[in-house]
Amino acid sequence: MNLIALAGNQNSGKTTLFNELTGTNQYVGNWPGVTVEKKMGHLKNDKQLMLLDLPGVYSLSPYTLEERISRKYLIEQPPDIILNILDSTNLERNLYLSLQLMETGLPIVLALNMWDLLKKQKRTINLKKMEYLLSVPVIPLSAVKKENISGLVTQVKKAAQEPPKYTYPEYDNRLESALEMISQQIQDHVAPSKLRWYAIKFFERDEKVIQKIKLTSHQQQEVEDIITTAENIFAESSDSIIVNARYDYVAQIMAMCVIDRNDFQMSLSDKIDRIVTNKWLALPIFVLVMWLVYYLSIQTIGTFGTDWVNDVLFGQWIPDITSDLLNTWHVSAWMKGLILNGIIGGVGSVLGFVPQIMMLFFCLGLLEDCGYMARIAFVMDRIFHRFNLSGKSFIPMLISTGCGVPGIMATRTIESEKDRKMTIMLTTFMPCSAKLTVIAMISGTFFTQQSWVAPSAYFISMLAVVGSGIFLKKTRMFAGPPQPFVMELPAYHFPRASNILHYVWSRSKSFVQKAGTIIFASCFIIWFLSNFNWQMHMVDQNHSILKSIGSVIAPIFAPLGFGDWRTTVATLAGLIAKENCVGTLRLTFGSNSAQSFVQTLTSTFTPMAGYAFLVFNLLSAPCFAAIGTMYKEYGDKRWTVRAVFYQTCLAYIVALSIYQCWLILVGNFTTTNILYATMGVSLIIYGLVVKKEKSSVKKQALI
Amino acid sequence: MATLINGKTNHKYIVTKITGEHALTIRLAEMGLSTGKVITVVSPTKNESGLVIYLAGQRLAISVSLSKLIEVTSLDEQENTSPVPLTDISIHNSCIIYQLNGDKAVRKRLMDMGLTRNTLIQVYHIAPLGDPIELQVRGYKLSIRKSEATQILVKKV
Repeated sequence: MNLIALAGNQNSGKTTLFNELTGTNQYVGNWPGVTVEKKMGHLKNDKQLMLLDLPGVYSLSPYTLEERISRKYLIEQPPDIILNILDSTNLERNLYLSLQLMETGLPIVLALNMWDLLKKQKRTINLKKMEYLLSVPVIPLSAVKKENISGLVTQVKKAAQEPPKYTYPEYDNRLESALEMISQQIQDHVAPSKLRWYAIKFFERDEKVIQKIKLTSHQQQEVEDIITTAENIFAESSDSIIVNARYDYVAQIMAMCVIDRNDFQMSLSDKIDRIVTNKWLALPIFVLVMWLVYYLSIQTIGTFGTDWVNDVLFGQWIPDITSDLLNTWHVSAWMKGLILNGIIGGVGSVLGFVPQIMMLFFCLGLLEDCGYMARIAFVMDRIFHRFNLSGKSFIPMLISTGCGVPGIMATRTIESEKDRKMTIMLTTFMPCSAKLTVIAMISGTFFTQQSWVAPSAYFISMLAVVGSGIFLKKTRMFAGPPQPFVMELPAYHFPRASNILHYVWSRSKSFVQKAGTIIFASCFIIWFLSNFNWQMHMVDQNHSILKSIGSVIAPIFAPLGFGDWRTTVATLAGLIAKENCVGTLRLTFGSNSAQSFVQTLTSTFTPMAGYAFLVFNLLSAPCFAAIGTMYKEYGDKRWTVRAVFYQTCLAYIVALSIYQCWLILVGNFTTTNILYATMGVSLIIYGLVVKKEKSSVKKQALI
Repeated sequence: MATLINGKTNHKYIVTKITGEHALTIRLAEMGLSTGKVITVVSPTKNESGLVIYLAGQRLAISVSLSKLIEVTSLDEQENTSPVPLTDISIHNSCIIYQLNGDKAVRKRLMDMGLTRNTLIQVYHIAPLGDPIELQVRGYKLSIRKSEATQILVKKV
């Protein structure tokens, strides 16, 4: 079997080509330990050719995660062929990457995508000349229009049979002699086929390579001398010598092969941008688009679907049919409970999210495919950058006010790994529609006639996001200089149905497969704990295992004002779905009428204890569905645990500070509560103001 | 705006604009002479004879009438003007990159995107909230934050 790595710039049409080549035979996962997507699939009609989609990169430098993944892969597990896809309307920068790929010495096929657009712009590229100059196969095609895909497949198959050989691109003579001398120094340490790659990397003073290849101190000195000499000759730093050499080489190829009208023309894309990113219109348009996305996926179509699945399909139809069936079979009561509530309920809670996710990803796919998504980052970056988030973090946050699960999944559109990880961690702070039931219950029970409670919940959520952004940036996990925001604004184009459907399908599928299993298992366990006692008899919730666990944990919540086993159990039950908080409270307080429920609650807790309960449930670990999705997106247990731990700790500290400060304000001075209040408040102040940024030295060693 | 006709021996120039017929622009582009390219004058015009320039490894002879259509900025004369950060360039104005500051990762990233010394860039657009800014570089558009733009020293054209 032959392995082909698909490499190219972002926005070069890599995804479209990958979908076109593999069809439905693809598998979407993550690269080990990071949230960067890894897609694999075999070629349509040919299982012998395996295609691997590398992250979209502009360079093979060691600075961004995507670049590190790509080059680590290309050097350590070299594929049989690199299929390099280029945007032929933007050849100069795309060829820059091609040259770096060719420096690895691996067999390469160049695919010039967007050939149709090039023709539309009345430009041409002389392919024969280009093939001759680079001595590698060059295939023109249009992935969108499906033009010449077969030509590419034929060429790739031919290359798989007999890998094409080429001479390395040769740069400036003075640079070449420096590289030659470095090669002599390092040749005992690296494989002959990789000699040029490493020589160039040593010349660039590439940190990763210098760490990895241990030269003797004499050799190190020699290499350093060669580089300094070259720097003196060129009067520039070594890495910029290489960059210039590559761009000069590209310029030569361009000069010889590209027949171009060089003056820049105002394209349709630019005209759209004049309106969409206009000083006055940008924000209103943005708000409108966001409202549409939210309206479609959270308020209307998506939620209709979700409600139907939850209330009708898994609320009536399937349970009714199954319970009829179980009754006719005379199945025992506990077995019935297991099947109806445990299994069907669990499956339902997973599948219930699917309509919302599909609708959301339909909208996001549309925005991404037509090119508006990049503009969102452009317009919103200023605001979110302050809190160390990306402009695109806005979308997950907005979606999370409806439901955290699609919100977490929406982080996929954020390029930077750090920003994405942080957004996943923070996005569930937003009150989702299930948390609204808790907000409604608390404000309705403890704060009748007081309209500030519900808005304050949103306010606290936003403060938690902003404050966490500031705090987390200082921790070792997220430390380091902000990633340079360098992004390309791709030209707008008409979205393609096939691409979007692909997008929707693969997201929904991977959600059900990956997150679904965790959600199902966790819901099942909580169901079991709340329906059985230690003797494995089926009992009601008030005598269950969950109750005894609740009683053990309850004292922890005492400083927050609600150290009662019933509220504790409600919090635990909220892990299945936050609306369970309310249901469980009703059940455990054993009240039949709404009025007596309010009375028992208000007589047991002070209003502020209720508010602390609200704040804790608002910010603490989200429901299992969201945790499962987090795990799926992080692709890593450690990060998931870290996120849940952070959220719960923050929830505890904030609830503690609010409750204890209130106690002091109303005149309750005891040593313990002053101690608690100072503890909570000083922790928050420490995190936001006092704490200094950790150095990022350790972080870089991760990959 | 200066044209190539006043070019002095051994001086480096950067092409800022090519006026004249469309066919001519294409012809020159095919030979590698286009906006943003750095050229060196090998011998200047004397008595209405053409001038010889050096660019991308080749020597080109250019007639006087043609040289009047090629607008250039002298890089050598710019040695005297002091560089300013990119953020000082107002919208729709062009400039030439003089130097990249900042730490290695940021510099390398900017260079990889094609922002190298003596590259002609244009400030194309500024985001509604003032940050980031969009540049026209090497035939494509790139947006960078102001914090990175302050690390880029440029010379006005």
